[in-house]
Amino acid sequence: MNHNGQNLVAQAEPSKAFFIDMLTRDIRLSVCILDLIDNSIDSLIAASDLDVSQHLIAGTKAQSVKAQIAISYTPSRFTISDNCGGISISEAEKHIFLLGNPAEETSGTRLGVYGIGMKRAFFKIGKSISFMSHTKDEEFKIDIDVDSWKKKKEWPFPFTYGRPKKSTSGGTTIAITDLHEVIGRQFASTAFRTLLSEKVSRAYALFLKAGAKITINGEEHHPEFPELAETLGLRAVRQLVKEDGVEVLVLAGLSPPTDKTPRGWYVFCNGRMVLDADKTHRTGWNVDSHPTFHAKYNHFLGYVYFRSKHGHKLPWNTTKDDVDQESPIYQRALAEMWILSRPVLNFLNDLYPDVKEEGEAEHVLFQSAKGVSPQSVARRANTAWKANVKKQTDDTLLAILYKRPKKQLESIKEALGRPRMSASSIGQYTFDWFYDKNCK
Amino acid sequence: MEILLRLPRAGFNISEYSYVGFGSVAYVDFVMFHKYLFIEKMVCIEWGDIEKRMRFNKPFKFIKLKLKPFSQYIPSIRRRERLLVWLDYDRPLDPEILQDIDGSLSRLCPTSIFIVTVDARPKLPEDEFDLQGQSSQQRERASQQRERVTLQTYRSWFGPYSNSRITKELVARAHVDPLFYEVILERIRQTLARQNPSLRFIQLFNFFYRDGAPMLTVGGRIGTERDDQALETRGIFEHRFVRRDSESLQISVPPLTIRETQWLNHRLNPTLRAGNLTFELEQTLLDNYRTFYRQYPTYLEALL
Repeated sequence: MNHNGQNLVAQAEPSKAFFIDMLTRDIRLSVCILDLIDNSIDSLIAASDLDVSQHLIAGTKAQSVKAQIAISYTPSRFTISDNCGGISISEAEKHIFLLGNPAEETSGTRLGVYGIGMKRAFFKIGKSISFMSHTKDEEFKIDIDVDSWKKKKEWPFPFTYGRPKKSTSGGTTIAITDLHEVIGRQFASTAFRTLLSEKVSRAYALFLKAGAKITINGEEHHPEFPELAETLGLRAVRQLVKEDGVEVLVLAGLSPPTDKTPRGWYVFCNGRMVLDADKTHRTGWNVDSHPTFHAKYNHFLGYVYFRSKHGHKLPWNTTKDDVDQESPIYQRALAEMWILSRPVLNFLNDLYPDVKEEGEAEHVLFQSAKGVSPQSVARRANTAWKANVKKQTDDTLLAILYKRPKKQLESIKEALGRPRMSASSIGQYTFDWFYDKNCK
Repeated sequence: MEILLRLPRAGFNISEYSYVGFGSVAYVDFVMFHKYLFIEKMVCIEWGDIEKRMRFNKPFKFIKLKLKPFSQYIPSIRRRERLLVWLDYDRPLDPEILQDIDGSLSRLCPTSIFIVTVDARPKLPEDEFDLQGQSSQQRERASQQRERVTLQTYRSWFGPYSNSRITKELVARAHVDPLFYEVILERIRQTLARQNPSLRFIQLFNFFYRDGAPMLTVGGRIGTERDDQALETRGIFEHRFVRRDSESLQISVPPLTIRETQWLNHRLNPTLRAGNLTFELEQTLLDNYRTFYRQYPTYLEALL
């Protein structure tokens, strides 16, 4: 209490400028755009009950949806538009524009958990935002001038309009202009376009497979799923674990011999990819006595699908491009991933041994394998890893391969009187000669 | 065996457990656990190229033989099954063994019993330092190089699990059982904490067998604080062979002939002195025999 008898109070309101700066400082532009796509996908989930993970786990086919999400950008303007059902005025008033989701519970297996992605994207991309959405019954618009909003004490965003309107379908369009200079430069970059395209094809592969269409500047994207290698005697492992309201489906095996891209672990939460071909400590490599990812593990391929109606239990971070390694669910899933993947890595160790001939049988098996989709592996009951390698016997034929100077080969041809003898015939002749003379 | 036989006193019926162990053509542990613990569900893991010998020598039909590495067997461990698992390695501790410990403990249900045996010598898996036939100078140089490589490797492998510094002096010793003990216990602790913070490893065994290849055996029960108290209340920890900390029970039994063991068994009492024997035997070895005579190898191969 001060000398006038009034209670002293220390001011603790957040500063909008500081808030925006902290929110956008370490987040990449591509992640922000994916956050906006997540919102469209969430509208689609709400409108159609789509649950791609559940179908994957249950082995059923997800219902086909007809949804379009169109992104277009230039150095001066960004737009994302969808027909995924739209947002109601009530939702916009009470939830969508809150900075942070006040409730821990989310309904359905949605992608939005923390309630911050959309706003973060707005502030990251530009200063003038036009948000329009319509359902079958109503429509609304909110215009945000970030600089003006920052100056006001109030935090809410006033509606430009909100009114009933009948429509055959619902959708949302967000247009952002007055882009930050660094954003405009990125939108002009070819490298950024390629990066964004790759991320979209992988992050939303399951939704694309279910029928959602995502275009970027008119270019449609297709799902990208590295395939698993299988054949008679070679089978990927599949294991489903349920714990504390979270389902975890793990697939592990090899990518096909023709797949030259180094793989690793692909981690999904509620159908959205969070880790892409991970070979780092995030998925346990070089941690806890596990090996470091090495070139001989290039064909290792693992998928982990987390699914829960309680989004906050899933082990994704707020930007959904990483996992929360301290999550107890993730820790237990990681243990399971390594239990299941060890036999696969042991096979790869045998495939590329120190003594090359010792890997012949494994090579024969691996080379005969063909690619199968992870969906077809996921559809099965739990299966153990299988690699039936035919053991070498004394009669197994092994290849001998070595080089010698051409001059020496010519000398041998001359000594044998066979000027047209091939190098491989010389090898066989000299081997048989030594064997007959010394080993019989 | 004596310790395991006491567990039913604390309410843990060991005969209802399944036993998972590593193979050898003698199946000694399988025979002993069936005969004395009445265990009838058994799995033998063997990954060597001796399938026919293993099948031929299998003493009981109910033993399931799994001809694959233990790492391939771990995924099939059922979480609800109470197991007695003995990972009996004939090599020193290495990351593969730590992965086996982590993987199997991740699957074992609480109340399972878990035992690990490793060679206690500081020896790398592929020891390139063959010192035979070399001059003493060459051997000295190779020995120093081996110590350097072992030191670097052990720091890399075991550093995250050990509070004590892994030093040159440590790896130069003939055996490193304290280091291996610390690493194994820490690996077990980390795995159980990840599974469920209320789980603990209730250590019962810490044996160091010194004759021939020195071997370290660490074992105990997975359980909670309540289980720990139940075992304590029932006097399980009072058994003379129980070791609950890093101080190991040193086991060293003298190599005796059958006739010598029969002579001693007939006369064994606390006052028997080595000077009173009709054959040469050091007093220390006689004392050891007096401690461990009941555990002395009881199998023999008769020449027919």
